[in-house]
Amino acid sequence: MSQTIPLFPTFNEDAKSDVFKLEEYVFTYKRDDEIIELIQESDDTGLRTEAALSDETGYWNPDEYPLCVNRKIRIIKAAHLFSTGEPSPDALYAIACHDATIGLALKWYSAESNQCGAIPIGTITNTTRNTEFTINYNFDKASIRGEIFFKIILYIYRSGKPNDYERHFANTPGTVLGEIDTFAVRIDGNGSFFPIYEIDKPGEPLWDVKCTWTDAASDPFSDCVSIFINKAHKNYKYLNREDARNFNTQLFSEIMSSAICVIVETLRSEENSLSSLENAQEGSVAQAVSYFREKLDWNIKSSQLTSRSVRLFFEEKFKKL
Amino acid sequence: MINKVKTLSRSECQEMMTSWIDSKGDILPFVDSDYTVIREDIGKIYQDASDSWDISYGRHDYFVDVIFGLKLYNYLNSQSWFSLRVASNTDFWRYLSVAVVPHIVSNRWGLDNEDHYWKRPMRIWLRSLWWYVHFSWCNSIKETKTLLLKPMFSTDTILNIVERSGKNGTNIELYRDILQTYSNFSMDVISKYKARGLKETDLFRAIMKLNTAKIIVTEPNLCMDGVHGYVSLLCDDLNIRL
Repeated sequence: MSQTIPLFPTFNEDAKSDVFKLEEYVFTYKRDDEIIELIQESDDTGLRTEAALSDETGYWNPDEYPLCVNRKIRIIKAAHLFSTGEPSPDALYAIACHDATIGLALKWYSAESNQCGAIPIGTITNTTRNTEFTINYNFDKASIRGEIFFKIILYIYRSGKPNDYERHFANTPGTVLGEIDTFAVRIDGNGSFFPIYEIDKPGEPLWDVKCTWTDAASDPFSDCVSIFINKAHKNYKYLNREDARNFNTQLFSEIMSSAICVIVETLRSEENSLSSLENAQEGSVAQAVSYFREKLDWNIKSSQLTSRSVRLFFEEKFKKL
Repeated sequence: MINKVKTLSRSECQEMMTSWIDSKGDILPFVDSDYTVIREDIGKIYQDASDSWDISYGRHDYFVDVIFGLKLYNYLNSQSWFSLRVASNTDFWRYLSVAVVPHIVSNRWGLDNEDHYWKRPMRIWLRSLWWYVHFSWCNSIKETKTLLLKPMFSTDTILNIVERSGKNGTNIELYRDILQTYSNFSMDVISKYKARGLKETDLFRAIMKLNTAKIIVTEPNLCMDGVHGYVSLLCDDLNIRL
């Protein structure tokens, strides 16, 4: 989706604070007529874009209780999003013609649940100001799993009658004009990135890594990448996190670094894999490597640079231990 | 009563499949008493599905896939431990295919066709059948059966619908409408599309491909007349009149 070039004006993030005031998402469930809020745990500092949900009371689980998504969105002044009907240097953020109606919707999608949907929230015209919309959406019980993404999108709800200065705007109902923000929520699975398993194989090396994907852009990372630590090896004690006296962070860091280098190099050996990481499915092998490159800032242009980036990362990470 | 749904990871599948193939399909993996019952139940419904085919129906594989798929859908949905959450868990389907009923998968796809047991999630046979029924569901088993046995549907449809599921989840309402709409085309309209000599000669594939492109800028549920309105737009783009 990041590769699509829109043929009409789309929502500009710079307009966000002039037009909208968005509260945070609140996730709740109902037990015995009581509405209970779920805790959002997040690694993000500052601007939160994702969280794992948990219940302080210990009751909630997605098999028994439907999940409810709540959010309040206030429209400060919608006029910024509409054309004035005349060419105007001030109408920088216009995405629809003057008499069209724009809709807001909650789009949700989850690869792990194999489902997606869009729920209308409200509509705005060029005169809308100081109006509040409330999202209150219930998923069916036991219907979703893993990670779910929520996007607030803008779309054409009702066409306008564009004049000569407005023909470049999208005007067909259903056309998406952009998104305001995205938030991801994990309801099960700990989202742990590194699938490390213990095995018991006398005579085998201390560690091993297996890459079993067939399509890196869609096969899940946690499914198709496995790092094995061999309990039967004489030096296992240096990798046993429960053995505080012998556990060796340097060795552990070294093994993790080498394993990840193998993964990146295996991907590199597949034609075109490293040049098309952005289009990969969430949670896939390719998306994980894209995460290393974009969010963790690793340089993976060559095997030497990868080795250096990975080791720098783990040195930093394990300094704190 | 099963308290916990059983799953197999990819690496566990690899090991179990090796034993299955080595035994030439003579030794079924060990499963507990709950799953032994499930093994027998699924075995019986597969037998019923196979027995119900008659040469007059033609297309044996697709017919048995549909009948077995519908019965499997009904069977699993009636289990208290089964839910949409379980259905979207690939590792559950792996357990079912490799540990519980590998002999049935073998019957359909051969002893060592690993893609259909565990290797390619979208191709795991049992999984693809359940989701095929789910994506085409129309109110009852009977109505869904009538729909899926129409002449324009085949094993290719299963491939196009299930294996090309959206990378970020599927809009179930949309897929149901596409299948309903397509089932209302005459075979004449469908074969005329093939005859046009266009690059994509299969009308169903053409609709699915166009949907992949259009869905980037248009949200089906938010179109005028909702999802059906969106599907009408797809047909308009392909010059097909509804």
